[in-house]
Amino acid sequence: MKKKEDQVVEVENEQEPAEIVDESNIRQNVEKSNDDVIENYIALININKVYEGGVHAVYDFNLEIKEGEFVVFVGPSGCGKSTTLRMIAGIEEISSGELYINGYYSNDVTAKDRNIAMVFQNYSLYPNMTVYDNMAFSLKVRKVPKDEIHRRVNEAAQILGIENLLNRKPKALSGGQRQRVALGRAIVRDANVFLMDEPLSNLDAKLRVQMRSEIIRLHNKLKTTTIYVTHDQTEAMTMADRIVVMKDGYIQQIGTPIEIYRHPVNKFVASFIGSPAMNFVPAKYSKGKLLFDDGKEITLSKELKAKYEEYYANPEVKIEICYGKIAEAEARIKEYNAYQTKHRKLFRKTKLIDIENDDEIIRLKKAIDLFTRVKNGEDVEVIFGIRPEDIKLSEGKSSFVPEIKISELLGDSYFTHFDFGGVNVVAKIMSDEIIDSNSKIHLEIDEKKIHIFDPYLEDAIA
Amino acid sequence: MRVEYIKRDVARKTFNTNKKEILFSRIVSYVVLTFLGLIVIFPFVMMIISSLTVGGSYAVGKGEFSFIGYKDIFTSVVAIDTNTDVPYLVTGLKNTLLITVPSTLLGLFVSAFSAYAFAKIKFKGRNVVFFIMLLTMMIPGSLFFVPSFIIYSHLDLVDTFFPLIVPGSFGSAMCVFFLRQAFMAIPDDYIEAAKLDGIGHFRIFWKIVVPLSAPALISQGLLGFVGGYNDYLGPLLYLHDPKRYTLQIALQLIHTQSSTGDNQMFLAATVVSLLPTILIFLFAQKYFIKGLTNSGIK
Repeated sequence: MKKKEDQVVEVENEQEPAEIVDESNIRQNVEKSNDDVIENYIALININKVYEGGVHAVYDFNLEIKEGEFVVFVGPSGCGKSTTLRMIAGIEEISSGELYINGYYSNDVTAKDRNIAMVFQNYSLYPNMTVYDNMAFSLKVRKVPKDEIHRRVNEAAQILGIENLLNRKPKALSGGQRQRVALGRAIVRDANVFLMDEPLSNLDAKLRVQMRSEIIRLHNKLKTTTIYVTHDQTEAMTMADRIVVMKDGYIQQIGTPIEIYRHPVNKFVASFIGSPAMNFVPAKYSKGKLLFDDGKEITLSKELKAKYEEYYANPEVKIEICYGKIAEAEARIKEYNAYQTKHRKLFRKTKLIDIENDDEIIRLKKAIDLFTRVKNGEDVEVIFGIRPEDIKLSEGKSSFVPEIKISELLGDSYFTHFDFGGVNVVAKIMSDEIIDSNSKIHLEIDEKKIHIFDPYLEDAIA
Repeated sequence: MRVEYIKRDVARKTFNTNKKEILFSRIVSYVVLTFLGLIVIFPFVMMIISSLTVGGSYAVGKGEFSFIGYKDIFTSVVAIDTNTDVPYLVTGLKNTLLITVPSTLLGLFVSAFSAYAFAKIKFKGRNVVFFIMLLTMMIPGSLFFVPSFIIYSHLDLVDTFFPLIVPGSFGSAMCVFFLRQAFMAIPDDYIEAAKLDGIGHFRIFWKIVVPLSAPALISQGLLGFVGGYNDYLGPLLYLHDPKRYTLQIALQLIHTQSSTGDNQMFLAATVVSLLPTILIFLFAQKYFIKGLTNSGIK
């Protein structure tokens, strides 16, 4: 996008009175962005989305994306990832916060002026137009000369290998071909940013893998800044330069795939990234050891022990934080209840939330109890986490010998299910030997790859 | 292990009753449907036969076969406006088209536009406005006759086409309701994709929504056209000069002016007046049915 002076700011339509910033402030922001944020192609600052009726879909979203970066938003359905994407696209209004594209405050810039191309989950190819017309449409609208349109469409078609489909209607295309056309429609635009909203989820498994690599190849070739939304952690891991993990409208963690895989910040991220999911086993920490319900013990490395001690070094501070969170939660519940009481007709079937029995508050109270026990020098419970691929066949001394309940052959490896610390645990075992169900094998846990989580706050301790 | 297959004859015997039942139910439905079809088509057949019989007798087979009725429409003194020498039927058809075509097209356009707004644009009070619009459907049309007539006579527009064209040009609540259903079936993604492609609501409407809901628009257009074409009361109230008579009034005129007991010319005129709508329906039948069924359900 060329920086045009006229493109700078519009303030008239600012929605929330509380968020109104006067023009000089915004100009300052623009200037500031020119200094600090400019190398970040897209910047989202404290973005919130509150739908009519009070549903808060996205909370304080902060993210800076560099030019040419491939960022993946991943999370379960309803976590706010698509909403965020649609706010960037300009088809969903931003309730509060600031969006900068190429350094310019863009909250009030209309979708068409953001020069963003979007690929939709169901492709959204206009059924009444041919593939060529679908791809050429946005250029025709922008009054690009005919030869130029022709050149660009043909070029994009060539990149995607769909030259022979240009005269067909979308109806006559297969899923994969439609997906290619949808990508082509984005490519011809020569847009600043590609937004992709679960573009592969309507394809079958084999085609999905193929298109995945095709999109990566395309990105390597075009180097267009791309934001990709998916609920599939494999897509996130394989495609992203950086991953943004989201849950319930909150960002959980931002990082490179390897960072997120190796150092998840909490139990949710640990369970969401990686397949099969990480195993979690309740345990008790005692003098550098983890004690399990079935009598098993794991001695922690010095590093892990240090991290544990660091986490619990200042229980008073943690208790304060928990009280703060309880107050916040109570205020939120009260506000919600008041809203419901006021609009009783709308919420006839829903009950008011009981503050005493709210899950979050109970959890926080338990956390306070735990930190108090830490303060008194007691040993406390933790959650032990280990990825299935970090449990290996062993001949060493630190092995344990579980009875395999179920053994699933994958070809080169097995998913074996067995009891560990009273819960079912899955291990991915590379083995040329046949592992039968009900057999017994020697396994060991890779001690460097052990994760420990706070049982109530669910934050990563180590 | 050897599998015992059930042989064809045994199997047939087992399922025999079932087959008979299917046959029976099929026969019953054919008979009932044929009967209903005959009831619908009977008046048309009678009309055509009588229009081809001298005297327009309804007693089929008794009268003498003759095309004279069809000739009379264009030649008989009673069927021709003596001032202009043009058959009433021709003037009527011309006037009907002059009234119906613009009001149908304009009405369809206005209805489709508002239906698009109700279906695809979020604005405050959308549901309230829509509800109020639906409420207008509850008011019987005949309530408006007297007040409308007073207004048009004050405006000195009685005996012109305006009172017949203007109300229809504002669309109809029924049509808006119907088209809104059809437009709602178009996924929002198309609209969003179009917005990102850089077009506004007006062009989205023309380039995306209209082509995608052509069947619904065509069927609504047809319904509107037929409604206008068959309107009798409106022209009767507002049009006084025979030059401006519509087809329906012309038919009535031919009926009252032809000699008592001789219906042949009148019936021939009726058949002729039906032809345009039948032809249009035949051409648009595919879209018409598609439009009604598609948007009706979803």
